[in-house]
Amino acid sequence: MKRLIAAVLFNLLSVFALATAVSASFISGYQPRLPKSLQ
Amino acid sequence: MEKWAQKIAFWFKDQLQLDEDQTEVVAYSVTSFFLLCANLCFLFFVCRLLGVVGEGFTAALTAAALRSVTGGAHLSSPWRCLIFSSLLPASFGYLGKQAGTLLSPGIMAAILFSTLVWALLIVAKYAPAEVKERPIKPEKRGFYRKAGIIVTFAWAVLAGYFLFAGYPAHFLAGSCGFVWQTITLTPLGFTIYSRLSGKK
Repeated sequence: MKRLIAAVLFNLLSVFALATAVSASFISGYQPRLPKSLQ
Repeated sequence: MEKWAQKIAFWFKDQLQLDEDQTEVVAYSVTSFFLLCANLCFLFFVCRLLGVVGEGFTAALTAAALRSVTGGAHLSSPWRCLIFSSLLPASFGYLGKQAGTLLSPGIMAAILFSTLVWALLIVAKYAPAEVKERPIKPEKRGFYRKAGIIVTFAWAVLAGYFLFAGYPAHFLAGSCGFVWQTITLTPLGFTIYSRLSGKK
């Protein structure tokens, strides 16, 4: 069960990361370092 | 904030046997998500205190829309960002609420036109403004510049609607947010953010 929840959250987080990587910049005033795999 | 994100990312790594790249993506995503939620909560709190929730969020969202396609200067830590990105839009909201009803429609129309011209010039010259944490590929630069120009025209249409539909406070707050974002594209904006980040 824990693994299933982790897998679902991991997918959601990956989609969120991709969505932020498409834009030219993170919308707030601090930009976390974009991972190489998303550049 | 990034230390918490690393801990959460390692939990995912243990649960799902992720590789280094995937763990890094999770840490990045968690940091971004926390930052976004914290920013929105803090912004709401400050705007609520000043009684300018609608106007403050108009300023913040207007700037965010342009920032997403043009990039811009960033602060050195999430906490500085949290404070600055909440206080500034809230002050724009406050200014909009106080001054919005005092200015004549003619002055408002002049603000709309001059902001449009200023933003087009700045976007065409400086966008996209990248930072080392988020490099932009050279072949993508033209795309982001064009997107910035489209967003600027879209802002002008929406701002015109707000102005003529009787929302001068929202119009003024949004215009301030838009101008603020264009300033973060310029060398002056990078200098200001660098000073605010505590760098010399």
